[in-house]
Amino acid sequence: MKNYIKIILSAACLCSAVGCDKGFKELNVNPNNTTSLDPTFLFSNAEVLTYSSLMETEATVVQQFIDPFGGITSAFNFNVLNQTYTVMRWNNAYPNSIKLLEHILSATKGDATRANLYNATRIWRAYNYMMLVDTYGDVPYSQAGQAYLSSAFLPKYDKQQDIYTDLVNELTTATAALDAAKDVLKGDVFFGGNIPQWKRLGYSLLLRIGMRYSKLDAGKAKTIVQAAFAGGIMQSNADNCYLKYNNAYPNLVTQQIQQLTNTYYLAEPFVTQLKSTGDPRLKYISAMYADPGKALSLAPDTASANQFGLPIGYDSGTLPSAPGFRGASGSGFKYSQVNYSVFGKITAPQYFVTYAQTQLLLAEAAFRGYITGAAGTYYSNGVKAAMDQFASYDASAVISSDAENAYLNNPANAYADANALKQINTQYWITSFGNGAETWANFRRSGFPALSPNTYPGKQIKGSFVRRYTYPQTESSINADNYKAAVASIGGSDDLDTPVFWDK
Amino acid sequence: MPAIVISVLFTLMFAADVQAGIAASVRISIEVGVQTVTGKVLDEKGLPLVGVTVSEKGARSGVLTDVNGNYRIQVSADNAVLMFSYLGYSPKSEPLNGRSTVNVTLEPKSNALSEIIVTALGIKRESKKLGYAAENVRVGEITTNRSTNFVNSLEGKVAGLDISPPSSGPGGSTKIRLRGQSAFQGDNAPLIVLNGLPLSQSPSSTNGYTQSVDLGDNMQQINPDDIESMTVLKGATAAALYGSRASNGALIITTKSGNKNTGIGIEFTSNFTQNQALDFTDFQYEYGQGENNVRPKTQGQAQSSGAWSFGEKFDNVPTYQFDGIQRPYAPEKNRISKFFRRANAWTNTIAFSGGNEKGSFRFSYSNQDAQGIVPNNDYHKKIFNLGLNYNFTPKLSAQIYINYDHENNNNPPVIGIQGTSVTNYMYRYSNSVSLDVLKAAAVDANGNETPTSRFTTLTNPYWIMNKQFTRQPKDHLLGTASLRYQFFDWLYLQGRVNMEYSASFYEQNVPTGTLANAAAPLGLYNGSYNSNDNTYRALNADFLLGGGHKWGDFSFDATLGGNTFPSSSRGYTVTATNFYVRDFYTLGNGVTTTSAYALSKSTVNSLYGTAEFGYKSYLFINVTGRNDWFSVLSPDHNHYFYPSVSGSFVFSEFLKNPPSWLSFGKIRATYANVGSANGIGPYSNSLTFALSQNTFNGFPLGSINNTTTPNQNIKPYSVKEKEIGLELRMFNSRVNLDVAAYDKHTTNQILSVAISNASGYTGTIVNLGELQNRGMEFLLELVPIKKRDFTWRSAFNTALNSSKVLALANGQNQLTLGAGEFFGSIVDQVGLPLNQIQGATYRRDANGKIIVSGGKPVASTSPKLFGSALPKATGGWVNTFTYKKFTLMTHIDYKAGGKILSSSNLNFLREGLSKESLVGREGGVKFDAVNADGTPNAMAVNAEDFYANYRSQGILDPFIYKSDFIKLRNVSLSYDFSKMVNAKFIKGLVLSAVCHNVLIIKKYTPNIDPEAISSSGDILTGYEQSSVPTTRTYGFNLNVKF
Repeated sequence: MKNYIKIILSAACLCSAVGCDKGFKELNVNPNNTTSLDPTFLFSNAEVLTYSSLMETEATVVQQFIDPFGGITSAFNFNVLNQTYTVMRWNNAYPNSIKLLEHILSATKGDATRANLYNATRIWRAYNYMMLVDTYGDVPYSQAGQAYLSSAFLPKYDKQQDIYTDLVNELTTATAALDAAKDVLKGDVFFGGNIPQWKRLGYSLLLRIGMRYSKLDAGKAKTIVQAAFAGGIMQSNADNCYLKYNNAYPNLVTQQIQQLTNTYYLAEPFVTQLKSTGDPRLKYISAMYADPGKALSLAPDTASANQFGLPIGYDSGTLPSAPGFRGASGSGFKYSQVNYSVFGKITAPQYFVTYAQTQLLLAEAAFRGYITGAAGTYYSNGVKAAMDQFASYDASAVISSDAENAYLNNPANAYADANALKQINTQYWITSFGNGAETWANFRRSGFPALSPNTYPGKQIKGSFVRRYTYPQTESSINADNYKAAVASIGGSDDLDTPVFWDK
Repeated sequence: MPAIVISVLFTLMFAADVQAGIAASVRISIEVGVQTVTGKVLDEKGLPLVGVTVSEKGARSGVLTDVNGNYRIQVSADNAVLMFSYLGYSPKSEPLNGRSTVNVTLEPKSNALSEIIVTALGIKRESKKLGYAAENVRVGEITTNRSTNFVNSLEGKVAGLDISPPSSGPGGSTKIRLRGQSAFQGDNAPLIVLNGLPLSQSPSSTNGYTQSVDLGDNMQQINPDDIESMTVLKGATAAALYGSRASNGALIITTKSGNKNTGIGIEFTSNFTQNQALDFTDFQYEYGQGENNVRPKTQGQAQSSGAWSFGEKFDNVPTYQFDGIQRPYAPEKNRISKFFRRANAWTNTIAFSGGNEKGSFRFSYSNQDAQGIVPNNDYHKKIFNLGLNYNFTPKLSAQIYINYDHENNNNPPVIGIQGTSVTNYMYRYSNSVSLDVLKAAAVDANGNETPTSRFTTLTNPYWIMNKQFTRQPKDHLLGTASLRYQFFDWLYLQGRVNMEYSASFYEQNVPTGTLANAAAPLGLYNGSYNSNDNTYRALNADFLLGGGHKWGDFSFDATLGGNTFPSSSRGYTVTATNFYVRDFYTLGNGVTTTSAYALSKSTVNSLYGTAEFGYKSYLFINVTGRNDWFSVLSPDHNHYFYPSVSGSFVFSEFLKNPPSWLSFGKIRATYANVGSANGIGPYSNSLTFALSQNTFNGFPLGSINNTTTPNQNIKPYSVKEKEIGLELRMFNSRVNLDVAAYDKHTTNQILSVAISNASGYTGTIVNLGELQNRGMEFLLELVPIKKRDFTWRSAFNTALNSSKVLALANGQNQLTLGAGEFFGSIVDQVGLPLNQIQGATYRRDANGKIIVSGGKPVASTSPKLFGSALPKATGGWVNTFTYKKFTLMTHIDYKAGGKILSSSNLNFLREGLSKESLVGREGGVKFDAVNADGTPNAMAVNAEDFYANYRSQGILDPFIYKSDFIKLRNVSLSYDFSKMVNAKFIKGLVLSAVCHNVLIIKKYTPNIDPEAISSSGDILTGYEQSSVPTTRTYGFNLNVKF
């Protein structure tokens, strides 16, 4: 009997004596996941994850694109606040590209053998933040993306002016610090690690940010633009910064509009602009389909005369009352849609910064006297480059130089100082189609093209156009104190009207 | 699989003994008497009782009844007294008074003063000694009124046990909550202990996001016919010996293993039921398909406007439908009952059992074939169950249980999200297109889905049912082997090995040509195929040393035990997207394939002990303690101690002269501290990275796996529960009352707290948050009439639970649990009960008037809390009437005090199906409201546009209802034919007619059943969307004993 008890007690104690947690530490390591990864791989993904806006967001604000159906999709098509669309840029940037970019910065900072990776990351981070500021105004910056790195769970919002100042500084110093003699920049989806091209990207972005100041502070704009121009901006379409999509990684924007083709149309101001000026890009952007609901399986009618954009200011119910209503067609309306064989392909590229945009910015800079050079030449270079870009959508979409010249010789399109700002920025609007953040920012800055306000009844904005997106509702509940401070800082109202600082 | 090997050996050894033991009658005494008495022992139903001990009063030994209930005993004198005793029945003494034949009927012990209860770790104890609430379930009631998942039959039966089955098809899961929900997030189901094997319920239900079909739970593998007893350990104290797994109480289930000395018996149970969809829709049939008061004028318009019934008044004029044919413009009524089929379910169980003086066995095989009401959904289940008991020597005994279950769940319906849900379509499509047309024209000339509406996400059910397959075969093996050695009368040692192994496969295609599919690149075919292989293995090995002694008035019982619980799972998922060859769904045919491998291993080790002190027969104190060590925690703080103390005072025995009406009276009080590591996954304390399967133009893409930042210092949450209770049995146990009150306090909740996503992460894991659940449970059992031929038993139970969120993460007032697919969310808010429905409300001016813009209401700037989705009160009332051989059982149950947000009702309104949508058809809706400047609204808005505004603004007000209900849940009528059949061959035959979900006596939700929920989880409680209709079940149940 005593023996039994002894055996049992010693069995029980054995466990506690050697520890009831023997081997637990080793057991709790996942052999299937790595706890460290070369930041090169994160850099590739940060580039790929950089958000390009859906057509229902900025492209609708600037009247290039329209979904006339109401209900759940009531948003910028009717100047109605719909959180679904206002939060996209925020929610796609911070937990995706920003998270990875901050991680790379912390992993490479001070490491001389990763200097180029570090500086390229700073440049791309600046691009991401420029879009966030342009969209929301004050945003989390200095503490953002660092929940893991520094336990900053509720980042404060930085003042938009301060962020811009820092971005100018970041772009300037990071671009200057890039050095082809230093580490090879691996994992670069954009330029395959070509350092001179990264420098040109950095200075082109500096040019872009400099021009953003033109409305607010011409002197500051001039200084920055001059520095960017002197540093060396993009030289040709070969320097374009874009993502080339493929079957495994399709373009999410075009894939999305292919889902519900009968609800998506090109907007009248956009089609009319292209059509009335004999723009050779029209047929690659726009097409008429016999049944919008079956656009993907039907041959596009790209004849210029047959293109009609859907008028702004109507919903699907009131559209028949629009002047010159063209009628229904199949399960949709008889209006032009995106040409799904070229611009709307699911392998269509996504452009972030292009040579064409850069030339057009230079044209304006020259016109404003920020830099020397002929504005007209920059303008022509920009237009031609913008047309040449289409070959990257489809091998057949080549616009000949004859056609380009003919377009530019058309008095409606030929550069004229008297119309310079309108012409340059209208071209910027056209060539940036598909990059909503840029078309919208440039429209707000330049005021061109001179679009007519959407007159659909029940608008929830006070002004004529949406000038800012509201912060996500999650911020007002989760990050309440910082959110409130930010709202106070931007002027007291978190709405669609409050302009960002450079849009005064 | 050591358990298996042992069992096979065991079976072989045992079989030989059983053969030898099939003697008609077994005597265990030496015949010393002078006179022979014979007789028969019957149970309360008149069936023979086998193995009843019959002895002469004062004698040291007795005899057992044989398989026919007959006995034969020698007694010493003709005035002797015979004693009859049988487990589970009240003992009876019968003076001979000179008789030589004595037939007796024994009454079951359910109303006996102190029944035996199986408590934690399988320790059997007298109920009077328990200081906590433990309730035995009447197994007979759940085997008569069956459901595919047997737990559903418990709804409204046990006070404090809240059962809510999602309406998801026969293979679905069940939501089980005991005394409310102890954690904000994670698994709040009680621990299931099957023959000593602790099992997680593991519901795999929809969550409204990543999973949209209900793939069942661990309860599906239990055949109710195999259950011998089932005890509900409601509180923390009852389950305290399970330590970190006890936070939600426990259901202790013991399956049958035959009875000793019974010979071979066969029992056959057959059950046939038919399920019928319940249609609560009350739709308008005045206006047909169309938008903006216009009917479709072309095929294209018909294809565009299919989701709307805002057309013109029905007039039978031929009108275009989506297939291009013009048909009379007329309503299609009763769509729900036309679409959903009457689904048959067959369950047959055959069981063999037997035993001799050394052991017993029972083997059963059950087959279930159940159709779902969704026409392509069917579910098949086979369960093998074996139970063995064997005494090697009087001191050494062994028990083995093996349960093997094979399930096949084909095409469980998509619920909880709109998408391809067939219910969603049936609930939304315009009311003037017949099902025949939808069926005939589902596929277009190219083999693709014909557009039926502008929303490509609204998939024609006849397309998806014909083209999509969802299959889930699943195997599940549970084995328990235990050895027990009784050193002395007062000391035993038990060792036990439990093993759980499951393997499941899941495959599903998204058919090429489905309109909702993302476009495929040119020349390829869209769609996807996904397959998943999962295995889970857990071992649960424990030992228990127990003993007790009595010194005069004092008694002492103690146990000491230890347990190790390693578990591991592996899962491999491969998805192919887009195909080279059409309609050929394989991984090899996929253009892009991605795969994921998931691995998880963890161990919990424990040591525990109990001590019980008794004084006389009326005072008992029980103390337990358990220490758990966790592998998932950081080594610095990976072990926690869980104590409990409980006491019971039987005042009816303490009182010298208790009043004559008082048969039994007891008060009890307990305190326990238990915990749970639910929410802490293996490996969750470090940041990990992943690389993409497919390169981006040759570049591998790296990512950070964590979306929640890891926390090294996380620890299990803690539940402290206090409970007091009173048990009274009065008037010869004809009025029995059991009342319990508890206060359950959960601290250090493991919260995945939302953080600003500008931090790069959406959450972090913290130990914060406090929650309180307080409640009362009442159980009242009455026997108002007890006559020779007629008995009326009535059992009423009710439970009140109120929860209160005391604290959340630092500085946060609110925690979002889940969000509706398109509007509304479920949140926890400090100071309020759990699971608040939150969303936008009408924006109002200072006077409370609703503000409109352009005639349409505008959403408030800040969201409103509409109340808790959890019921405050649940309960049921079972009445059983027995007249001769007839038994009529009625069961009413109810829930009250919760709210529900009905997304279906939003769709009914905005798409023009509900009668409410008739307002404003002509002339528009002129809403009683003011403009932002305070002027009265003068604008009438087109009805379709007006109602659609609720969706775009996300205003919840019109779609919030009370989820209360009173239901006539079950009615069953049984007749016992045992007496009418050949008793030599058939020993018992009972036939029952049953009906489940007979009637909703009261509800507040228009068009839907408030129980038509989609998830057995907690994060979407209160959010109703697109679950399949609830069903009424009726059928027959046949039980035959040979």
